[in-house]
Amino acid sequence: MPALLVVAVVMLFPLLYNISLSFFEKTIYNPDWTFVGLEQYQKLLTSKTFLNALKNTVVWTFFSVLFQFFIGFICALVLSQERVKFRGIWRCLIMLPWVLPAIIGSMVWKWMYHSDFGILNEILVRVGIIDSALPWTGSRDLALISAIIVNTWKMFPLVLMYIEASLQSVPRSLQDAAVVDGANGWECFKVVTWPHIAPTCKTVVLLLTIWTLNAFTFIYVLTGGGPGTSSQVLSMFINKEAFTNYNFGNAATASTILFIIVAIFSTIYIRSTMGGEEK
Amino acid sequence: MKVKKVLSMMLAGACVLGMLSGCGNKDDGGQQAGGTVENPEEISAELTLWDASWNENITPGLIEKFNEKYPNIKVNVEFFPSDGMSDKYLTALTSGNSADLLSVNNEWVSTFAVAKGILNLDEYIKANDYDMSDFYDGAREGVTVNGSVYALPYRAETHGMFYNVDLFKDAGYKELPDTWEEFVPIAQEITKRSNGEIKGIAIPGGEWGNTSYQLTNMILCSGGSILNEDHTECMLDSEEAIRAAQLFVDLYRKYNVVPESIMENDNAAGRTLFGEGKVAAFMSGAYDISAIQGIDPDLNMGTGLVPVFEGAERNTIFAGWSTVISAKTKNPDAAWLLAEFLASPEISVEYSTTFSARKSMADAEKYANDPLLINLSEAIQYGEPLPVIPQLSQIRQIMYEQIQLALSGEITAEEAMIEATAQINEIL
Amino acid sequence: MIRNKKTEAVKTVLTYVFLTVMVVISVFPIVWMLDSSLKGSSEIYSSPPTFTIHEVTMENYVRVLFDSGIPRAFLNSVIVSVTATLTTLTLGCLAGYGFSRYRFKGRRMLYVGLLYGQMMPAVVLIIPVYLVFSKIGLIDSYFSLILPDVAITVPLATLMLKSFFDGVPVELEDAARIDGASKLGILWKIIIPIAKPGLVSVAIYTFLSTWEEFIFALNLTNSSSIRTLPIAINMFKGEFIIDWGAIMSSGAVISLPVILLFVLCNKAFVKGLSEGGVKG
Repeated sequence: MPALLVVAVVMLFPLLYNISLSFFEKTIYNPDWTFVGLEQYQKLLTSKTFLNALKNTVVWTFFSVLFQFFIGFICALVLSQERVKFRGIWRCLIMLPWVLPAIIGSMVWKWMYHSDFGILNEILVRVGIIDSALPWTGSRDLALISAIIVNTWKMFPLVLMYIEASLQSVPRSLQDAAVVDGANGWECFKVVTWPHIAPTCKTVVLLLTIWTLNAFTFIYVLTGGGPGTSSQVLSMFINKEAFTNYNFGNAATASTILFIIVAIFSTIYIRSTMGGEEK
Repeated sequence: MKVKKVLSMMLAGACVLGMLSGCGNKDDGGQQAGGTVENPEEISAELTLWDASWNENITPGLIEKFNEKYPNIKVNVEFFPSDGMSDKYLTALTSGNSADLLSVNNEWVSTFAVAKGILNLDEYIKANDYDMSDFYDGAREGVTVNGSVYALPYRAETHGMFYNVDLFKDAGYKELPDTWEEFVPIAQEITKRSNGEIKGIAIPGGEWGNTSYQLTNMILCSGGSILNEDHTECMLDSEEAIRAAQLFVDLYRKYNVVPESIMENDNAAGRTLFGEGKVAAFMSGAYDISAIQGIDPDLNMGTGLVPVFEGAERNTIFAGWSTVISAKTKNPDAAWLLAEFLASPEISVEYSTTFSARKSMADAEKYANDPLLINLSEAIQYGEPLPVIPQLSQIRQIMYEQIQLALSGEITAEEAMIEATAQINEIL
Repeated sequence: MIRNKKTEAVKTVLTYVFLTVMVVISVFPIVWMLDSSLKGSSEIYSSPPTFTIHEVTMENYVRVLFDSGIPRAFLNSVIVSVTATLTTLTLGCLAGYGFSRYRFKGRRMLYVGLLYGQMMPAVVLIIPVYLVFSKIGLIDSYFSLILPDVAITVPLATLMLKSFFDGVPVELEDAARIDGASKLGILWKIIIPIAKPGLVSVAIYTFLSTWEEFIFALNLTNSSSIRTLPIAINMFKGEFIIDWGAIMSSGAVISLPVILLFVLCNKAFVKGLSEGGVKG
């Protein structure tokens, strides 16, 4: 099976290679690979910048997924109502952010965030949400939030699509039966709809978590991990260690740790998928 | 079990490759090629030059001129944006994927040299009796690592001060003062006259490169420095450095002559504010002149030297660009010819988007006829490079983080400099 | 009854208001991109920014299309994305068909492997891929971009196509087999046409993700003859100046193909992804 071969060559092999590299040291001063065992893991797990990146990754992933799911979910509920006409057009328009390449989306937002010429501050000030222009990507407190907003903007449409599709699979007859039984909207949702879409929701949340953990472009373009290290997440940290600081050993160690984190979520995801798929 | 077999084969493969890369890298020790280049006109070779994107309209013309002299050396040029340029170059140089020549910021030369990615040029300089004395001291020091020259400079610049002549005039001042002590009241007067609508000076506080650069420049103006002569100890806790850092913070917190947006501003923001007439002065290099004229062609601006502190000698950061040769090039002789060509007096004037790195070109026509430029070029002779050590960017990051804390009022400028000194001494 | 009608009407209005707000949030950045791309340099840098354009100009587009590396990068992107998409489709079809029809040893394990592959972070792959490609001199070639692109998209493509093939009745194949068709012939003539919507959505998905692929392109390309669009757009960031007008107009140029593709094949795509991508 050639497909599996490609996957193996470009995935499995690098993964193993990567893990083996994480036991070696290679820096700009020491261009040869030197075996150091677990030393780099120990160093990394006690390093302030790494722990900071780890903390940012948790914040970044948690809030991105929370907002993506929440907004996407509400949109799906609203859009799937029978009263909505031209559903396809609405959906198509709302999904455009997801279609736009991540780099372009990030660039456009960076331009909108611009503290002098950005339209976002102008709008927010006019509407009265904020009093004066905010520095967005330039401030320690807002940099990560700025990136979370862009990530949410880009990915919530996908949630909408998945959940909406799943909502459509809820049998009409069941809902009608519930209504006949005197259930109000909320009860009907709880008893009939939710059990139907819950598995999809679970997988969507897991997928979003994994994608967000892996996401790189948004933060690279918007803040570059800055100011300082205030929006540095693991994927940025790895790229920076490898290609800026030329510390490939350290980068391999960090990416092995990232892989372990992703693998944990993947396992939960796969368990839940396999339940319904392969017996 | 097929899968297990595949897995174990993969694992074995990974180990083999790991070993390969472990042993295979020994050949990239710093090689010293070179000597006299005989019959240069007859050398035939194909070279690749990696250049910065802002030279895209300049370099091709220079290559044509180069080919008039050396018709058999074909030169391909690739252009790179500033984003991630140094990362890309470092990775490519160390892994052997780079071009034969690279146009680089002087600040990167020490890192590239320590990583053994670029050619030591001493042999070529000696064999060809190449005269380095025409380069500004700052340029020469900037490309010298552990006593060896690693690049040929072509571009030079320092920061000067841009000021809004009309705003200064309204406040009753004709020109830029020589000292910071005289500058502060002017900035206060301008700020006061406009009820704070217009501020005295823009200082960047939101981007590590710009912020640490301007802070360092101020420290130099006060007679201080980041490190001692032999780069073994940090000098930021000296009286001079603290005096400069104090003013850097005070301009914002005490005198209130800096825009509120300082914490998010980089130097480009300062330029915009200046161009729009919202600040009366800011510090930058010659490259910003056309950008300011782009914002407001009618702005009545002047340029001059950055003020010094009372009693301190004039000093400023020398910045510049040079051409380096990859340690792995197959045509070091041809590469040397091109590097030499790009660093030659007339060509360097054309090549540089600011000033030439050569003293003899200080009053080249391109600069002499432009009062804005000539005022800025005067400062170059006082320039000294930032410390030529690979830890430089880490040092600047530390300075940036500490001065930001001071700007936000969490600690004093003195505490910031003392903490920075402690952290920098740790990595030296 | 009347009250009921009234609340219904209110609900309808609220629904449309909500949808309109969401559409505005979704589309506004894209509109702002187009808006900015049509402004001249003095207008784009005006503060406060305005939505209306005093003087519409094509100067940014002229610069991007005739005086920059974007056209060449566009060609590179097309080469990389199209090749990667076709390869992924072919491999995905074969593998998906295999998973769908044959029970072989280790099937379950390979299947799990694919699922993990789908989750693999690109940043984990980039370091080993870079080191290996650099060793064998493949840095800065189309191949060095296509291979990782294929590897990253094949798992999901296989999974999606498998679930489409699962929906094709085996009886159809049996009939063809009796008529003497080969295995590949069956796949080509019977299965593929039925699974067309699935193929369309896999193709779009693959194309979209290779079109925007960033981290491999960033680290594995060096020359303008290989550089893809997401990297070439950075050329408008100068040493000290960012040319926002050019970035916005090249953004529009880069987005146009994928947006067109999506709008045209929107229905098939949504159907395919929601049926094949996530299992609930």
